[in-house]
Amino acid sequence: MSGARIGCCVLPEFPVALWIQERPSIAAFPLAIAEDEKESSALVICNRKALDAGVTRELTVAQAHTLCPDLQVRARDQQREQQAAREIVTRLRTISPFVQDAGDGLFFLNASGLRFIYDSEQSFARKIIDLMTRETLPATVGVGANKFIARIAAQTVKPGETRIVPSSTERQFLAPLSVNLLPVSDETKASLYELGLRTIGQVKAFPLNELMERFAADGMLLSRLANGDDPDTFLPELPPDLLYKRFPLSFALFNTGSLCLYVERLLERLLERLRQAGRCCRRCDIICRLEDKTDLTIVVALDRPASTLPPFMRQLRQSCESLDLSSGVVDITVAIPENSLLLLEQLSFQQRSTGAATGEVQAQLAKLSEEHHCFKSQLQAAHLPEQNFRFLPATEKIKAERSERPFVQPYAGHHLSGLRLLQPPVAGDLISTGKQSMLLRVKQTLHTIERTFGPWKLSGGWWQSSFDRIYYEVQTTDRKLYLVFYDRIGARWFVQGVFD
Amino acid sequence: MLKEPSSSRLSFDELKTLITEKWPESFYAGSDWSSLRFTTGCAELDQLFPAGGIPYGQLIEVAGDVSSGKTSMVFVLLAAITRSGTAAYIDLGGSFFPPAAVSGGVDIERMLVVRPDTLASGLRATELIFRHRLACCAVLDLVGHRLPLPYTLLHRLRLQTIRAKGMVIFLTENNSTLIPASMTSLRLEITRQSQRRLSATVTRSRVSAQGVTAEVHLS
Repeated sequence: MSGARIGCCVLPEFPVALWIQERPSIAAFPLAIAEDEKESSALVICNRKALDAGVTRELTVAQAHTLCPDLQVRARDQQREQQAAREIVTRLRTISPFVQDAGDGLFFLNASGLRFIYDSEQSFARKIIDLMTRETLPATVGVGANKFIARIAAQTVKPGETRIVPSSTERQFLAPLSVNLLPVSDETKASLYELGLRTIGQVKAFPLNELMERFAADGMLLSRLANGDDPDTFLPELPPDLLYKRFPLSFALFNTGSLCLYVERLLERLLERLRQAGRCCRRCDIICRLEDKTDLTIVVALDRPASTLPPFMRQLRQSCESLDLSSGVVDITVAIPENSLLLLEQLSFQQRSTGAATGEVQAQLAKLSEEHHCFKSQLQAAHLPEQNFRFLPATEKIKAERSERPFVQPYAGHHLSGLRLLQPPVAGDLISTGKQSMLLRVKQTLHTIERTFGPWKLSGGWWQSSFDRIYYEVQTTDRKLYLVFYDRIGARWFVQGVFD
Repeated sequence: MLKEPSSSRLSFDELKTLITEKWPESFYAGSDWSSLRFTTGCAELDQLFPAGGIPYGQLIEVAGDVSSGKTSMVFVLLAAITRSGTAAYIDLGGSFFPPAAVSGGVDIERMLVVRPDTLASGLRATELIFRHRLACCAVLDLVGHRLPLPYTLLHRLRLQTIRAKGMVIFLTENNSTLIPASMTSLRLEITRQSQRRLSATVTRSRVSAQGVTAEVHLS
């Protein structure tokens, strides 16, 4: 987050709004957009008047006409919508240089560092509204710490209005809002309703372990969203054709050293733009217009993407060594024809690979020790904490993209945060001092117990190896938190792990 | 006659340019890498660093007492890293508990776990991981270890980390003297304020101000 501010511009019922923009007279009628013009095709979206007449999205065109004979139906033109979205992005760039089109009439703008241009975030938001009003598109604008907050802020105001969520007030802002606003599946929302969770604040107050147990991977997402944290990164678009800088000279330039200096200044600004967008590039073109009206193009191509100046300049100086400027340069254009979509944070992976497959590396790792090498951990269903996971040999390279992973409920205690296992569990002891206080002995050290959480009983069935344990989480007066269990078969206490 | 010292003296920027041209990698460990950073997801912690996040190419020490929350803090960092990249956990003590990492938001699909026998093997394994770009961040769990890390191996690891633009996080106990101060760029000392609230104090740093503290809320 790092103090970032994001603006969100929502164009409600975007396809409908585009049709009304083209023919304003149809705004007076109930209007719906269908997949195509066939009677059997389903409606995609409809305006407020159509909704009031009982038309909903899932209906077919024929069904909708039965309900509302005046309904105006238009076929969806996705190409037109994309074209319109591109034009909107271009217009929004006049307000903030970094804009992301998230589809369906949703646009995100970088609102950080614009305090020198706009008096306040409110005036920044009003500027967007004014721009959209000029385009006769109804819009709402929200500004917040991340995309999620900004979007919710924009979605909870009427068209033409704005909402600013100041920093550090995200949780208070989200708490009373409906869970319907959360970007999760309809099934998850239905399950939240079944649990009696109606507001985001109630989701936040719900124990994380319970959320994870009930919603698997969505549980963590729900928790993060309810806390105002957005896992979705702001990725603005930088159209390649815009990434150039031109500098016309008032005199002819014959010196390659001076040419490099001019290029350096221009390239520095372009790379700064890339860096701010979290991107990088591996090629830049320098087009020099010569006195004799011909163009001289110098291509600087790196073997790996970069976002800093030195690698480009090194390459450029080498290229310029053999350059003969017999005809003077009168105009310089530096262009970045392509930029990488990869984030700067992942730049280390774009470096030239050594060519070694993971298998080879693993073999080398195996050489370091007889048995232990590289593993991938996998959660699995088991009663005992130490069996809640297993290590698989990491034979393939780690996935670059996030995958939908099966989730298994781990240890059912309350505090899972930072648990470090002691393997095998260390024998401990609980000693009663007779003054309503207990001592926990771990490795010959005595700790006075302040609080306990539990118990949780775990026992194995006849088909399993027998175990019968009673678990407690124990907090000592020196603020240490242990996971201990009483083994009823061996009648002994053990320390299973430390919460750290 | 002695020459006027100021006339031959280069400014810092000039000197830096001179060195960078001759040895391009020499300045990588410094603040030049401020643009290549990762944000931890905790606004307060990120704001401790001028670049708005922890710069890459660094050796970082995360230290704390038993139950101080240092492992939770490492999971917070790993969660941020595994959102866009991959990580490795060098589990020297065998105490890594994957469900706790998942609970802390770590994507274990994007994390390698290496369980070496000795400290030296662990350092070599980390070096190997960076050399082959298997991960951009490696956590060396040194909790429970008492012997100092071999200086030569540590130095090699530092160079490899700089070259790979990676990041090494040493997880240590508060009173440990395993890592020489000159080897790490940043030392964060973790203390637990409450069950879900940790405070991270920068006790030693070359990439930010020292003595500053940030509060981290565990989700």
